[in-house]
Amino acid sequence: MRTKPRSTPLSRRRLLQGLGAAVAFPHIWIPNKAYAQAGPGQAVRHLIYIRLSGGFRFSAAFNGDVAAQFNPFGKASNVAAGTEWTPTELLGRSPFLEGNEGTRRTELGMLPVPQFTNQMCVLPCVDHEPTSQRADGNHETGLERFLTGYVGGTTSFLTLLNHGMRERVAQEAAEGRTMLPAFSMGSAGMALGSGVYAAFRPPVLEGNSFDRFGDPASAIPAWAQRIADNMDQRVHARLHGDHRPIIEAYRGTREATASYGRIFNDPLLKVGDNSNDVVDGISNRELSDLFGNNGPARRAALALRLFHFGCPAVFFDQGGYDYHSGEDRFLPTAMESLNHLISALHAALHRMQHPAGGTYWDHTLVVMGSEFGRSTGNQRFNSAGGSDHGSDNATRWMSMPFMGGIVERAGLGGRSLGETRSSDLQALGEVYSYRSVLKTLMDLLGADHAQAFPADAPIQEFWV
Amino acid sequence: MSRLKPLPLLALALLAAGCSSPTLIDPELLARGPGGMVGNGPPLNLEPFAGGNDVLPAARDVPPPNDSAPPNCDAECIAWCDAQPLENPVNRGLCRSLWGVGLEPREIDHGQACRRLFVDMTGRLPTLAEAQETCGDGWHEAVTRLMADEAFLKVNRRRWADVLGYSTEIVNIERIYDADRLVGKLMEGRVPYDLFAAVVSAHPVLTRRYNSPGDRVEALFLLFMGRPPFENERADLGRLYSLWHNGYADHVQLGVVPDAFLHFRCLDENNQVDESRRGECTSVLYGHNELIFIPDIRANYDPRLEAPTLWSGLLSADEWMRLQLPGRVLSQELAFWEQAVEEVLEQYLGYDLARLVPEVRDQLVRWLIDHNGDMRSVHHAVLTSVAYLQSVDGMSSAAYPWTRGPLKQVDAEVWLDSVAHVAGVELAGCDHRIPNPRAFMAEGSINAYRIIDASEWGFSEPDGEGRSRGVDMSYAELAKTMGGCPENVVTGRFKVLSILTTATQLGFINNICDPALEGGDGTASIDRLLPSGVTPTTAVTPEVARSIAAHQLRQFYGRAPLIEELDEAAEAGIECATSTCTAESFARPYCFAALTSAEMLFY
Repeated sequence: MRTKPRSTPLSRRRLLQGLGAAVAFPHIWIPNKAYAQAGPGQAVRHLIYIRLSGGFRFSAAFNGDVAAQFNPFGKASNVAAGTEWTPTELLGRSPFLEGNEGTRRTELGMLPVPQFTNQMCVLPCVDHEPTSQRADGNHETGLERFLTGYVGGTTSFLTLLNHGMRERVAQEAAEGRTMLPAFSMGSAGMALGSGVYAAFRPPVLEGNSFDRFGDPASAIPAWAQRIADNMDQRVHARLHGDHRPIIEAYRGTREATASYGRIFNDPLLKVGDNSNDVVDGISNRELSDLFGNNGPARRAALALRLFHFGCPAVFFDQGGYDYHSGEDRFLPTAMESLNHLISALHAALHRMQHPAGGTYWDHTLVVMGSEFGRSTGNQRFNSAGGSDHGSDNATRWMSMPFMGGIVERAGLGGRSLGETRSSDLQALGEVYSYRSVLKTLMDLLGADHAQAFPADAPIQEFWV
Repeated sequence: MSRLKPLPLLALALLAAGCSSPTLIDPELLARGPGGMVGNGPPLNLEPFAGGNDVLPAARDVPPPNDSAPPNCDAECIAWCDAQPLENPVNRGLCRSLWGVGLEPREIDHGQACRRLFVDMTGRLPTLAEAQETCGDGWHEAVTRLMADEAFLKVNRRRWADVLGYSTEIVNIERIYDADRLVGKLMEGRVPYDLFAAVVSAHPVLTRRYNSPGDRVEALFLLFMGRPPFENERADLGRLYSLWHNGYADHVQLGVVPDAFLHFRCLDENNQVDESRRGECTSVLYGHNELIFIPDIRANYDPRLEAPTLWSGLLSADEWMRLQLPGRVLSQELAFWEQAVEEVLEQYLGYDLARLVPEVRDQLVRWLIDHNGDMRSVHHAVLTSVAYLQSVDGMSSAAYPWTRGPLKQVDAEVWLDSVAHVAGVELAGCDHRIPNPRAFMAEGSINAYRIIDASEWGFSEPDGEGRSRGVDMSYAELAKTMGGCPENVVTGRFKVLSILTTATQLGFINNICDPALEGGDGTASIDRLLPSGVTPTTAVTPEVARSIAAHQLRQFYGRAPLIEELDEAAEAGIECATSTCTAESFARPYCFAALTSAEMLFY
């Protein structure tokens, strides 16, 4: 290899010979227009937000009316009447409804996904950055955008949501009720936030249960409780005044743990206990029957139980779709798990009675996204039978499905809010910024979003 | 463009791997990359660092400043400070904002300072015996000894893993191990900081993490200059990063791995330098620095790029050095060195002393360069300075943060490891080089298993039917809830006080101490909670209660018990003894009370 060294040898020592002058560049800050809360107040009470992990080939699932290089699996059959968007064959795979378990699930209301696609809507063209010239196909930055709205974003969506719910939480507390915050199950990336947002970071729950949480301090002898209190008191008293607030904060969390501990210890949250006690119209055993026992299934079931305690939103990852090879063989099987989850959520939400009246379906929105779509360089699959992620439209568009009562109330059941050209996936209709989607979710939940994504507006089609 | 006829990449990978076994990999020899090409000689400084045992002066007899403005050290003050026999650069820099203007620091509490040193340098809270053994013969000796300990390297390797964001989902694990090895060399004083920065600036752990040249420049600036680049800097240095391409290598031992490739640029159809595009590959902001590579037989045609690329695993030492231009040019900036010392100050003090007292930064920069870029010199200086060693107790003479000691929250791993150590409980671990072992296992082969097995991760015990339960994530799940064991794909380490983290800690301690005497897995043996001569069934008297408290406080807090703590334990013993109270039924609740104290979380 020929090389062309032209740089001057550099010396560490030379630094000490003089100090460089810093140059500050003045700049003008032009504030963006901030979109005020204009939506429907609290149109939904709960959100289940699912990341299809690793970059998802949306056109092979939720935008199937496209050329074979984008959807090599074909379209679904027996699709519910009134479905405008195109589910693919992969969405129809339903082995979870077979056998004895399948019979039980059918009894509980589970259906193949194509049979209720008219209760879902899809936004075929959601883009992280609609004004950018190309897609962001990088795992890290794509995920940063997914979790925070921006590359290098420092405040996660759920943190913004908790911040936006602060007044309601305070009001509930003033009335003597403990309202759980939004939870991130397993992903610390959904719990970023500093400064004013630091206190609103969602709890990150590792595992699928609260088994290790509780209020053990309440069970120790009074003398030991007194010693524990005195130890903290002494630490606080001896410290320099500047250091005392952090000790006070710790003591505050210990006191608050008692009230949260009662919730965390509630048998309702032990979703793996197969209890037959019916709460909100469904037992934990029935939830187990519906969802099965894998990680995302347990998380979804736990999410539904957290909602009982006022939790507004739960986020978790599902699957692992970064199939650079073997997608042709493995994606169909992987989709069966996703279909199972969607179908179980659909059935459970319809079955469950919400304390505020109606069903959980009426009050809950389920949304799926990913860090980006996937591309194959104009072939059905890449040379390894997989797909990649680059800068093209296939990477760019997240065709995000929405499911829940609000979709139907807004007249969006079965609708496709946008369109792509079959041959090259060119957008023919509306392109939504991903931040608009996030802001819509905040809006629907009734969260204050005045300080979130000021240049992006909520999607008005969801307003009822 | 002439189409290349490259050697198969697999074959070249074999050659690069030294024709090692085509199937099995040696986890101990996993590190491969530019980090192996530097720092293979002796340490930069063989003599002990000076300034570790400064005799601190009394404050000058002048009215102290009133906190409303930075202290003003006049000519007399400067002369006074210059006359002080201070060798430590932090103490020298601090003099004009401390003793010279009439301010007194807090006194040094020997036990407290030693505990702080132990945590910061070994990643674990000490017992009283460990503290006494470590700090018995002076601060310089203690710091020097701890700095030579493997634990110090591990603490700093983990710290840099957080900074660089290791992730096997982003880059080949061999490059991660290589970067980790490089950090080890930095902390052993065998690689100067500017060389370290140069290597990192073109290391796949950095370049493969970002998708565009501009983003790579931004990451470099944030890392080594402490600020984002201006647009002109971003555009200019971006030209040196434009040839990086994020691809996937078909690794003969690890399968398909994400890795860094070179994408040849500024060439014409014949793969010769295109004079009209030469500028696209040349940085001119820091001198004339051109970076053009021409493909040869090692290159491979990438059908997606429709262009040849070169796997970075095939680069020579000279080629790596050329690619390291961005780091080398930045190291010519004073701000680069200032950022280096600022990071160390922040690491140990928890606040930005360099910004508050720029003289400290200036002194440390000179100190670092005088020691040939050996970062150990800065660590030694900060760790033996008054700013670090002074007490966190009591009110100081002023509100300036350098007039009292630093108080920090322990990392999740420090807390878990410390509790496990004193309780004698074995915990699984997490390895900062493989933040997401399940994803790594899912991608890999038998070699992935071997690598995990040799790492700090462990495998769960098989279930009742002999089926493997995979990687043991129990430790990581606890740590993640508290902000440790970061996966690094998006988020990194965090420290937070929240209801969920506190509930997690209380639950963990409840399991360890077992105050309700329920028994179960992972519970501390009662032997660890009782002093010698006291058996679990010994009846509790005030004296027994005192001895149990004294034993546990020495173990947990690394200090002797206070009189009021012993009196309190004696009273509790009397209260406990109103019903049947054995040493065990006293020791376990006491353990819960002591280990859940703020003293275990802050140091």
